[in-house]
Amino acid sequence: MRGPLGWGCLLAGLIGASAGCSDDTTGRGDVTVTVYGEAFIEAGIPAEAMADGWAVTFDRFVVTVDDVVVGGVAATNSASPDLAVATGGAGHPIASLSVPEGKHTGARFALSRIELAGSASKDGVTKRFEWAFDQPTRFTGCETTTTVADGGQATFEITVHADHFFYDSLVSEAPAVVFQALADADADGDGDITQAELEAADIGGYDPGSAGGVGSLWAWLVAQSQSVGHVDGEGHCDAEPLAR
Amino acid sequence: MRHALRGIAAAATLLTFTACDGPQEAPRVSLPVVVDGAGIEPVTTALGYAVTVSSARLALQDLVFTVAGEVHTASAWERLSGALISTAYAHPGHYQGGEVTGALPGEFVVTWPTEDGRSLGVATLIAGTYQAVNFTFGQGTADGLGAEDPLVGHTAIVSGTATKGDRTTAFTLVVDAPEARALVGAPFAVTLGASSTGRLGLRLNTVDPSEGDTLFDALDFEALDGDGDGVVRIEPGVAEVEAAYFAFRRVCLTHDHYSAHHEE
Repeated sequence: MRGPLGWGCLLAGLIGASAGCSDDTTGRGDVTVTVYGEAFIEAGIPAEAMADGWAVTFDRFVVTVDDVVVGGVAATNSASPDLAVATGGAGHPIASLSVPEGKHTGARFALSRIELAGSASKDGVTKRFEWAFDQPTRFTGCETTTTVADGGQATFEITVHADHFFYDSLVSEAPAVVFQALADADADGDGDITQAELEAADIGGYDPGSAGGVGSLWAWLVAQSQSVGHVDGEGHCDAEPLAR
Repeated sequence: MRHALRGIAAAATLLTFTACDGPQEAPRVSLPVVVDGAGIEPVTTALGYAVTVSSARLALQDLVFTVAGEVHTASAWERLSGALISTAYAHPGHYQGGEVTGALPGEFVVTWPTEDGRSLGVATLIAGTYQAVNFTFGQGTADGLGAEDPLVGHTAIVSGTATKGDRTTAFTLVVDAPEARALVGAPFAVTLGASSTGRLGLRLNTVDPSEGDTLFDALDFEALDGDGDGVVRIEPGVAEVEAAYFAFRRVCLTHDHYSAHHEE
Protein backbone atom coordinates (compact mmCIF):
# COMPACT_ATOMS: atom_id res chain seq x y z
CA MET A 1 0.00 0.00 0.00
CA ARG A 2 1.25 3.42 -0.88
CA GLY A 3 1.15 5.86 2.01
CA PRO A 4 0.42 9.58 1.75
CA LEU A 5 4.07 10.44 1.33
CA GLY A 6 4.31 7.89 -1.44
CA TRP A 7 1.51 9.56 -3.37
CA GLY A 8 3.18 12.88 -2.75
CA CYS A 9 6.34 11.44 -4.14
CA LEU A 10 4.51 10.24 -7.21
CA LEU A 11 2.87 13.62 -7.67
CA ALA A 12 6.21 15.34 -7.31
CA GLY A 13 7.60 13.05 -9.97
CA LEU A 14 4.70 13.82 -12.29
CA ILE A 15 5.32 17.53 -12.02
CA GLY A 16 8.97 17.14 -12.70
CA ALA A 17 10.61 17.21 -9.32
CA SER A 18 13.55 14.91 -8.81
CA ALA A 19 12.19 13.08 -5.85
CA GLY A 20 13.07 9.57 -4.86
CA CYS A 21 10.15 7.27 -4.21
CA SER A 22 9.48 4.18 -2.14
CA ASP A 23 6.73 1.62 -2.04
CA ASP A 24 5.87 2.30 1.56
CA THR A 25 6.75 5.43 3.49
CA THR A 26 5.16 4.91 6.87
CA GLY A 27 8.52 4.90 8.59
CA ARG A 28 11.65 7.01 8.37
CA GLY A 29 15.36 6.58 8.69
CA ASP A 30 18.43 8.77 8.69
CA VAL A 31 20.66 9.29 5.69
CA THR A 32 24.11 10.71 6.29
CA VAL A 33 25.40 12.63 3.29
CA THR A 34 29.15 12.44 2.87
CA VAL A 35 31.64 13.84 0.39
CA TYR A 36 34.67 11.74 -0.41
CA GLY A 37 37.62 12.36 -2.69
CA GLU A 38 38.92 8.80 -2.50
CA ALA A 39 42.60 7.98 -2.24
CA PHE A 40 43.38 10.02 -5.35
CA ILE A 41 42.65 13.22 -3.42
CA GLU A 42 43.54 12.17 0.11
CA ALA A 43 46.83 10.45 -0.78
CA GLY A 44 47.42 11.71 -4.33
CA ILE A 45 47.52 10.16 -7.76
CA PRO A 46 50.62 7.98 -8.02
CA ALA A 47 52.83 7.97 -11.10
CA GLU A 48 51.75 4.45 -11.94
CA ALA A 49 48.15 5.66 -12.25
CA MET A 50 49.18 8.35 -14.73
CA ALA A 51 50.01 7.52 -18.34
CA ASP A 52 52.98 9.86 -18.51
CA GLY A 53 54.69 9.22 -15.18
CA TRP A 54 53.78 12.40 -13.33
CA ALA A 55 52.60 11.99 -9.75
CA VAL A 56 50.05 14.43 -8.37
CA THR A 57 49.35 15.38 -4.76
CA PHE A 58 46.80 17.80 -3.38
CA ASP A 59 47.41 20.20 -0.51
CA ARG A 60 43.83 21.40 -0.66
CA PHE A 61 40.75 20.25 -2.53
CA VAL A 62 37.73 22.18 -1.32
CA VAL A 63 34.36 21.53 -2.94
CA THR A 64 31.26 23.55 -2.16
CA VAL A 65 28.24 21.28 -2.17
CA ASP A 66 24.70 22.62 -2.46
CA ASP A 67 21.20 21.46 -3.27
CA VAL A 68 21.50 17.91 -1.98
CA VAL A 69 18.27 15.93 -2.33
CA VAL A 70 17.98 12.28 -1.30
CA GLY A 71 14.72 10.41 -1.14
CA GLY A 72 12.84 13.60 -1.88
CA VAL A 73 14.30 15.32 1.18
CA ALA A 74 16.49 18.36 0.67
CA ALA A 75 19.43 19.34 2.81
CA THR A 76 19.06 22.92 3.93
CA ASN A 77 22.74 23.66 4.21
CA SER A 78 25.68 23.95 1.88
CA ALA A 79 29.10 22.70 2.90
CA SER A 80 32.68 23.13 1.76
CA PRO A 81 34.81 20.25 3.03
CA ASP A 82 38.48 19.97 2.21
CA LEU A 83 38.73 16.56 0.61
CA ALA A 84 42.50 16.52 0.92
CA VAL A 85 42.07 15.94 4.65
CA ALA A 86 42.27 12.20 5.18
CA THR A 87 39.18 10.41 6.44
CA GLY A 88 40.30 6.81 6.30
CA GLY A 89 37.72 6.05 3.66
CA ALA A 90 34.76 7.48 5.53
CA GLY A 91 34.44 10.75 3.65
CA HIS A 92 33.34 14.05 5.13
CA PRO A 93 29.79 14.12 6.56
CA ILE A 94 27.96 17.26 5.50
CA ALA A 95 24.30 16.60 6.30
CA SER A 96 21.89 14.20 8.00
CA LEU A 97 18.45 13.79 6.47
CA SER A 98 15.33 12.15 7.86
CA VAL A 99 14.11 10.23 4.84
CA PRO A 100 11.06 8.00 4.29
CA GLU A 101 11.90 4.34 4.43
CA GLY A 102 12.31 2.58 1.13
CA LYS A 103 14.64 2.32 -1.82
CA HIS A 104 15.38 5.77 -3.17
CA THR A 105 16.71 6.74 -6.56
CA GLY A 106 16.91 10.08 -8.33
CA ALA A 107 19.21 11.79 -5.85
CA ARG A 108 20.85 15.02 -6.87
CA PHE A 109 23.38 17.55 -5.71
CA ALA A 110 25.31 20.55 -7.00
CA LEU A 111 28.96 21.49 -6.88
CA SER A 112 29.11 25.25 -6.99
CA ARG A 113 32.84 25.76 -6.54
CA ILE A 114 35.98 23.67 -6.59
CA GLU A 115 39.31 24.94 -5.28
CA LEU A 116 42.36 22.77 -5.58
CA ALA A 117 45.99 23.34 -4.83
CA GLY A 118 48.84 20.91 -5.06
CA SER A 119 51.78 19.82 -7.12
CA ALA A 120 52.89 17.31 -9.69
CA SER A 121 56.34 15.79 -9.86
CA LYS A 122 58.33 13.77 -12.35
CA ASP A 123 62.05 13.15 -12.71
CA GLY A 124 62.96 15.78 -10.12
CA VAL A 125 60.76 18.46 -11.68
CA THR A 126 57.87 19.83 -9.63
CA LYS A 127 55.02 21.97 -10.91
CA ARG A 128 52.62 23.66 -8.53
CA PHE A 129 49.03 24.63 -9.20
CA GLU A 130 46.33 26.55 -7.37
CA TRP A 131 43.10 26.76 -9.32
CA ALA A 132 39.49 27.64 -8.58
CA PHE A 133 36.48 26.74 -10.70
CA ASP A 134 33.27 28.54 -9.91
CA GLN A 135 31.03 27.24 -12.67
CA PRO A 136 28.22 25.61 -10.67
CA THR A 137 27.11 22.23 -11.92
CA ARG A 138 24.04 20.26 -10.89
CA PHE A 139 24.30 16.47 -10.90
CA THR A 140 20.97 14.71 -11.34
CA GLY A 141 19.66 11.25 -12.08
CA CYS A 142 22.53 9.72 -10.18
CA GLU A 143 22.98 5.99 -10.67
CA THR A 144 22.56 4.71 -7.16
CA THR A 145 19.87 3.41 -4.85
CA THR A 146 19.79 4.54 -1.24
CA THR A 147 18.02 2.00 0.93
CA VAL A 148 16.48 3.38 4.11
CA ALA A 149 14.93 1.19 6.80
CA ASP A 150 12.45 2.42 9.38
CA GLY A 151 14.62 3.72 12.19
CA GLY A 152 17.74 2.77 10.29
CA GLN A 153 20.87 4.56 9.15
CA ALA A 154 22.09 4.85 5.55
CA THR A 155 24.80 6.78 3.75
CA PHE A 156 24.68 8.72 0.50
CA GLU A 157 28.19 9.48 -0.69
CA ILE A 158 29.05 12.23 -3.15
CA THR A 159 32.27 10.98 -4.68
CA VAL A 160 34.63 13.44 -6.34
CA HIS A 161 36.92 12.07 -9.04
CA ALA A 162 40.02 14.27 -9.15
CA ASP A 163 41.63 12.34 -11.98
CA HIS A 164 39.12 13.82 -14.43
CA PHE A 165 41.13 17.03 -14.36
CA PHE A 166 43.93 15.12 -16.04
CA TYR A 167 41.92 13.26 -18.66
CA ASP A 168 43.03 13.77 -22.26
CA SER A 169 39.52 13.45 -23.67
CA LEU A 170 36.09 14.83 -22.92
CA VAL A 171 34.36 11.97 -24.70
CA SER A 172 36.44 8.82 -24.50
CA GLU A 173 35.29 5.99 -22.25
CA ALA A 174 38.95 5.20 -21.61
CA PRO A 175 40.84 8.50 -21.53
CA ALA A 176 44.50 8.65 -20.63
CA VAL A 177 45.33 10.34 -17.33
CA VAL A 178 48.19 12.72 -18.05
CA PHE A 179 49.84 15.87 -16.75
CA GLN A 180 52.55 16.73 -19.31
CA ALA A 181 50.49 19.26 -21.26
CA LEU A 182 49.65 21.11 -18.05
CA ALA A 183 53.30 21.08 -17.01
CA ASP A 184 54.29 22.44 -20.42
CA ALA A 185 51.83 25.30 -19.96
CA ASP A 186 54.15 26.80 -17.34
CA ALA A 187 55.42 29.25 -19.92
CA ASP A 188 57.63 31.32 -17.63
CA GLY A 189 59.15 28.23 -16.07
CA ASP A 190 58.70 29.43 -12.53
CA GLY A 191 57.12 26.18 -11.41
CA ASP A 192 53.63 27.60 -10.97
CA ILE A 193 50.99 26.74 -13.55
CA THR A 194 48.68 29.72 -13.50
CA GLN A 195 45.24 30.31 -14.93
CA ALA A 196 46.70 32.94 -17.27
CA GLU A 197 49.25 30.47 -18.60
CA LEU A 198 46.58 27.84 -19.12
CA GLU A 199 44.35 30.32 -20.91
CA ALA A 200 47.20 30.96 -23.32
CA ALA A 201 47.94 27.28 -23.92
CA ASP A 202 46.35 25.30 -26.72
CA ILE A 203 44.83 21.92 -25.86
CA GLY A 204 47.11 20.20 -28.36
CA GLY A 205 46.22 16.54 -28.73
CA TYR A 206 43.40 16.57 -26.21
CA ASP A 207 40.08 15.55 -27.73
CA PRO A 208 37.13 17.82 -26.93
CA GLY A 209 34.67 15.69 -28.90
CA SER A 210 32.32 16.36 -31.74
CA ALA A 211 31.39 19.88 -30.68
CA GLY A 212 34.95 21.11 -30.32
CA GLY A 213 34.81 24.58 -28.89
CA VAL A 214 37.36 24.08 -26.12
CA GLY A 215 40.30 26.18 -27.14
CA SER A 216 42.57 26.53 -24.14
CA LEU A 217 43.79 24.30 -21.36
CA TRP A 218 41.96 26.50 -18.87
CA ALA A 219 38.68 25.97 -20.74
CA TRP A 220 39.54 22.29 -20.76
CA LEU A 221 39.90 22.20 -16.99
CA VAL A 222 36.65 24.12 -16.57
CA ALA A 223 34.90 21.53 -18.72
CA GLN A 224 36.45 18.68 -16.76
CA SER A 225 35.53 20.34 -13.48
CA GLN A 226 31.91 19.79 -14.46
CA SER A 227 32.46 16.05 -14.72
CA VAL A 228 33.98 15.21 -11.35
CA GLY A 229 30.75 14.59 -9.43
CA HIS A 230 29.71 10.97 -8.87
CA VAL A 231 27.85 9.02 -6.21
CA ASP A 232 28.73 6.04 -4.07
CA GLY A 233 32.03 5.53 -5.84
CA GLU A 234 31.50 5.03 -9.53
CA GLY A 235 27.83 5.96 -9.89
CA HIS A 236 27.37 8.42 -12.74
CA CYS A 237 25.02 11.39 -12.85
CA ASP A 238 23.78 13.72 -15.55
CA ALA A 239 25.73 16.98 -15.34
CA GLU A 240 23.97 20.26 -15.93
CA PRO A 241 26.01 23.47 -15.78
CA LEU A 242 24.08 26.20 -14.01
CA ALA A 243 24.11 29.95 -14.44
CA ARG A 244 26.56 31.66 -12.13
CA MET B 1 32.90 1.19 -31.62
CA ARG B 2 30.88 0.35 -28.52
CA HIS B 3 28.90 3.56 -28.92
CA ALA B 4 27.96 2.75 -32.45
CA LEU B 5 27.10 -0.85 -31.71
CA ARG B 6 24.81 0.23 -28.93
CA GLY B 7 23.21 2.70 -31.27
CA ILE B 8 22.65 0.08 -33.90
CA ALA B 9 21.30 -2.36 -31.35
CA ALA B 10 18.91 0.31 -30.15
CA ALA B 11 17.87 1.05 -33.70
CA ALA B 12 17.17 -2.62 -34.31
CA THR B 13 15.10 -2.75 -31.15
CA LEU B 14 13.16 0.29 -32.15
CA LEU B 15 12.22 -1.13 -35.49
CA THR B 16 9.46 -2.89 -33.59
CA PHE B 17 7.33 -1.41 -30.88
CA THR B 18 4.84 -2.86 -28.49
CA ALA B 19 1.20 -1.97 -28.64
CA CYS B 20 -1.61 -3.19 -26.41
CA ASP B 21 -2.31 -6.13 -28.69
CA GLY B 22 1.32 -7.18 -28.95
CA PRO B 23 4.42 -6.24 -30.89
CA GLN B 24 3.90 -4.38 -34.15
CA GLU B 25 6.32 -3.29 -36.77
CA ALA B 26 6.98 0.46 -36.73
CA PRO B 27 6.50 2.32 -40.02
CA ARG B 28 9.87 2.31 -41.63
CA VAL B 29 11.61 3.29 -44.79
CA SER B 30 14.70 2.00 -46.56
CA LEU B 31 16.78 4.57 -48.41
CA PRO B 32 20.16 4.35 -50.08
CA VAL B 33 22.98 6.38 -48.57
CA VAL B 34 25.33 7.90 -51.11
CA VAL B 35 28.48 9.98 -51.15
CA ASP B 36 27.45 13.61 -51.65
CA GLY B 37 30.22 15.81 -52.96
CA ALA B 38 28.27 19.05 -52.82
CA GLY B 39 29.98 20.13 -49.62
CA ILE B 40 33.44 20.28 -51.18
CA GLU B 41 33.65 23.89 -52.24
CA PRO B 42 36.64 26.13 -52.91
CA VAL B 43 37.10 28.25 -49.80
CA THR B 44 39.08 31.23 -48.62
CA THR B 45 40.46 30.62 -45.15
CA ALA B 46 40.74 32.99 -42.22
CA LEU B 47 44.39 33.46 -43.13
CA GLY B 48 43.57 34.36 -46.71
CA TYR B 49 44.41 31.13 -48.51
CA ALA B 50 42.26 30.10 -51.45
CA VAL B 51 41.94 26.37 -50.88
CA THR B 52 40.74 23.79 -53.34
CA VAL B 53 40.29 20.20 -52.21
CA SER B 54 41.05 17.57 -54.81
CA SER B 55 40.38 14.58 -52.60
CA ALA B 56 39.09 13.99 -49.10
CA ARG B 57 39.13 10.35 -48.06
CA LEU B 58 37.61 9.19 -44.80
CA ALA B 59 37.28 5.81 -43.11
CA LEU B 60 34.10 5.55 -41.06
CA GLN B 61 31.70 2.98 -39.78
CA ASP B 62 28.20 2.44 -38.51
CA LEU B 63 26.06 5.38 -39.50
CA VAL B 64 23.10 6.00 -37.20
CA PHE B 65 20.32 8.56 -37.55
CA THR B 66 18.61 10.22 -34.60
CA VAL B 67 15.33 11.92 -33.83
CA ALA B 68 14.68 14.29 -30.94
CA GLY B 69 14.17 12.55 -27.61
CA GLU B 70 15.95 11.03 -24.70
CA VAL B 71 19.40 9.57 -25.04
CA HIS B 72 18.73 5.91 -24.43
CA THR B 73 21.81 4.57 -26.11
CA ALA B 74 24.52 6.76 -24.69
CA SER B 75 27.11 5.93 -22.12
CA ALA B 76 27.47 7.94 -18.97
CA TRP B 77 30.31 9.80 -20.60
CA GLU B 78 28.21 10.59 -23.59
CA ARG B 79 25.36 11.77 -21.40
CA LEU B 80 27.74 13.90 -19.46
CA SER B 81 29.51 15.40 -22.41
CA GLY B 82 26.19 15.90 -24.15
CA ALA B 83 24.92 17.87 -21.21
CA LEU B 84 28.03 19.98 -21.11
CA ILE B 85 28.06 20.60 -24.79
CA SER B 86 24.40 21.39 -25.03
CA THR B 87 24.77 24.22 -22.60
CA ALA B 88 28.31 25.41 -22.82
CA TYR B 89 29.53 24.70 -26.31
CA ALA B 90 26.49 24.00 -28.43
CA HIS B 91 26.57 25.09 -32.03
CA PRO B 92 23.36 25.96 -33.81
CA GLY B 93 21.93 23.10 -35.81
CA HIS B 94 23.83 20.32 -34.07
CA TYR B 95 21.63 17.99 -32.08
CA GLN B 96 23.69 15.77 -29.84
CA GLY B 97 20.93 14.14 -27.87
CA GLY B 98 18.32 12.04 -29.48
CA GLU B 99 17.05 8.57 -30.07
CA VAL B 100 18.63 6.33 -32.65
CA THR B 101 15.89 5.26 -35.05
CA GLY B 102 17.85 4.57 -38.20
CA ALA B 103 21.06 2.83 -39.11
CA LEU B 104 23.42 1.80 -41.83
CA PRO B 105 25.91 -0.55 -40.20
CA GLY B 106 29.21 -1.39 -41.80
CA GLU B 107 32.67 -0.08 -42.54
CA PHE B 108 33.13 2.44 -45.31
CA VAL B 109 35.82 4.43 -47.06
CA VAL B 110 34.44 7.55 -48.67
CA THR B 111 36.20 9.84 -51.12
CA TRP B 112 34.77 13.28 -51.65
CA PRO B 113 34.13 14.72 -54.21
CA THR B 114 35.22 12.18 -56.79
CA GLU B 115 32.86 9.43 -55.63
CA ASP B 116 29.83 11.68 -55.72
CA GLY B 117 26.74 9.50 -55.98
CA ARG B 118 28.38 6.21 -55.01
CA SER B 119 26.11 4.12 -52.83
CA LEU B 120 27.32 3.05 -49.42
CA GLY B 121 24.33 0.82 -48.79
CA VAL B 122 20.71 1.01 -47.79
CA ALA B 123 19.79 2.52 -44.43
CA THR B 124 16.69 1.45 -42.55
CA LEU B 125 14.89 4.24 -40.68
CA ILE B 126 11.71 4.48 -38.68
CA ALA B 127 9.38 7.15 -40.01
CA GLY B 128 9.93 10.38 -38.14
CA THR B 129 11.54 13.79 -38.00
CA TYR B 130 15.29 13.43 -37.94
CA GLN B 131 17.80 15.75 -36.39
CA ALA B 132 21.26 14.28 -36.72
CA VAL B 133 23.50 11.63 -38.14
CA ASN B 134 26.28 10.04 -36.13
CA PHE B 135 29.06 7.65 -37.06
CA THR B 136 32.31 6.29 -35.74
CA PHE B 137 35.63 7.26 -37.25
CA GLY B 138 37.56 4.26 -38.50
CA GLN B 139 40.87 3.42 -40.09
CA GLY B 140 41.69 2.21 -43.56
CA THR B 141 42.64 -1.45 -43.57
CA ALA B 142 44.84 -3.44 -45.89
CA ASP B 143 42.07 -6.01 -46.24
CA GLY B 144 39.75 -3.47 -47.68
CA LEU B 145 42.12 -1.18 -49.55
CA GLY B 146 45.28 -3.12 -50.28
CA ALA B 147 48.49 -2.84 -48.33
CA GLU B 148 49.86 0.00 -50.43
CA ASP B 149 46.93 2.32 -49.99
CA PRO B 150 48.04 5.44 -48.08
CA LEU B 151 44.86 5.41 -46.00
CA VAL B 152 45.80 2.10 -44.38
CA GLY B 153 46.23 2.78 -40.66
CA HIS B 154 44.78 6.27 -40.92
CA THR B 155 41.35 7.87 -40.59
CA ALA B 156 41.45 10.58 -43.21
CA ILE B 157 43.63 12.03 -45.93
CA VAL B 158 42.76 15.41 -47.39
CA SER B 159 44.67 16.72 -50.40
CA GLY B 160 44.53 19.91 -52.39
CA THR B 161 46.14 23.26 -52.99
CA ALA B 162 46.29 26.50 -51.04
CA THR B 163 47.06 29.71 -52.88
CA LYS B 164 47.87 33.12 -51.49
CA GLY B 165 49.04 35.79 -53.89
CA ASP B 166 51.21 34.15 -56.52
CA ARG B 167 52.29 31.26 -54.35
CA THR B 168 50.55 27.90 -54.38
CA THR B 169 51.19 25.13 -51.87
CA ALA B 170 50.14 21.56 -52.49
CA PHE B 171 49.09 19.93 -49.25
CA THR B 172 48.37 16.50 -47.88
CA LEU B 173 46.78 16.27 -44.43
CA VAL B 174 46.71 12.89 -42.71
CA VAL B 175 44.49 12.40 -39.66
CA ASP B 176 44.31 9.60 -37.11
CA ALA B 177 41.21 9.73 -34.92
CA PRO B 178 41.31 8.36 -31.38
CA GLU B 179 40.17 4.76 -31.23
CA ALA B 180 36.41 4.31 -31.52
CA ARG B 181 35.92 8.07 -31.66
CA ALA B 182 32.31 8.86 -32.45
CA LEU B 183 31.12 11.82 -34.45
CA VAL B 184 27.85 12.91 -32.87
CA GLY B 185 25.42 15.54 -34.02
CA ALA B 186 26.07 16.19 -37.69
CA PRO B 187 22.97 17.92 -39.04
CA PHE B 188 20.36 15.73 -40.73
CA ALA B 189 17.12 17.69 -40.73
CA VAL B 190 14.41 15.84 -42.58
CA THR B 191 11.02 14.28 -41.98
CA LEU B 192 10.72 10.79 -43.44
CA GLY B 193 7.58 8.76 -43.86
CA ALA B 194 7.09 5.15 -44.75
CA SER B 195 6.49 6.18 -48.35
CA SER B 196 9.49 8.47 -48.66
CA THR B 197 11.67 7.89 -51.68
CA GLY B 198 14.98 9.23 -52.91
CA ARG B 199 18.32 8.89 -51.19
CA LEU B 200 20.41 10.24 -48.35
CA GLY B 201 23.64 12.05 -49.17
CA LEU B 202 26.57 12.14 -46.74
CA ARG B 203 28.65 15.29 -47.01
CA LEU B 204 31.94 16.64 -45.85
CA ASN B 205 31.60 20.42 -45.85
CA THR B 206 34.69 22.53 -46.39
CA VAL B 207 32.68 25.43 -44.96
CA ASP B 208 30.75 25.05 -41.72
CA PRO B 209 27.22 25.87 -42.87
CA SER B 210 26.32 27.27 -39.46
CA GLU B 211 29.24 29.50 -38.67
CA GLY B 212 31.08 30.01 -41.93
CA ASP B 213 34.48 28.87 -40.76
CA THR B 214 36.48 26.52 -42.97
CA LEU B 215 38.24 23.23 -42.43
CA PHE B 216 41.58 24.93 -42.97
CA ASP B 217 41.39 28.14 -40.94
CA ALA B 218 44.08 27.00 -38.51
CA LEU B 219 46.64 26.25 -41.20
CA ASP B 220 49.28 28.74 -42.37
CA PHE B 221 50.41 26.76 -45.38
CA GLU B 222 53.36 28.96 -46.30
CA ALA B 223 54.72 28.89 -42.77
CA LEU B 224 54.37 25.11 -42.74
CA ASP B 225 56.38 24.81 -45.95
CA GLY B 226 59.71 24.95 -44.20
CA ASP B 227 61.85 24.06 -47.22
CA GLY B 228 59.90 26.27 -49.58
CA ASP B 229 59.31 23.55 -52.14
CA GLY B 230 55.62 24.28 -52.40
CA VAL B 231 54.62 20.97 -50.81
CA VAL B 232 53.29 20.50 -47.28
CA ARG B 233 52.50 17.22 -45.60
CA ILE B 234 50.96 17.21 -42.15
CA GLU B 235 50.68 13.89 -40.40
CA PRO B 236 50.73 12.48 -36.89
CA GLY B 237 54.01 11.97 -35.10
CA VAL B 238 56.00 14.74 -36.81
CA ALA B 239 57.14 17.21 -34.20
CA GLU B 240 57.66 20.08 -36.63
CA VAL B 241 54.01 20.11 -37.64
CA GLU B 242 52.46 18.77 -34.45
CA ALA B 243 50.57 21.94 -33.52
CA ALA B 244 49.10 22.25 -37.01
CA TYR B 245 48.25 18.57 -37.04
CA PHE B 246 46.30 18.70 -33.82
CA ALA B 247 44.59 21.94 -34.81
CA PHE B 248 43.41 20.42 -38.09
CA ARG B 249 42.48 17.12 -36.47
CA ARG B 250 40.23 18.86 -33.98
CA VAL B 251 38.33 20.58 -36.76
CA CYS B 252 38.20 17.45 -38.87
CA LEU B 253 36.64 15.52 -35.99
CA THR B 254 33.92 18.05 -35.16
CA HIS B 255 30.35 17.80 -36.33
CA ASP B 256 30.64 21.24 -37.88
CA HIS B 257 31.86 19.91 -41.18
CA TYR B 258 29.63 16.89 -41.79
CA SER B 259 25.98 16.61 -42.66
CA ALA B 260 23.46 14.34 -44.31
CA HIS B 261 20.72 15.40 -46.70
CA HIS B 262 17.66 13.84 -48.22
CA GLU B 263 17.17 14.29 -51.92
CA GLU B 264 14.52 12.95 -54.26
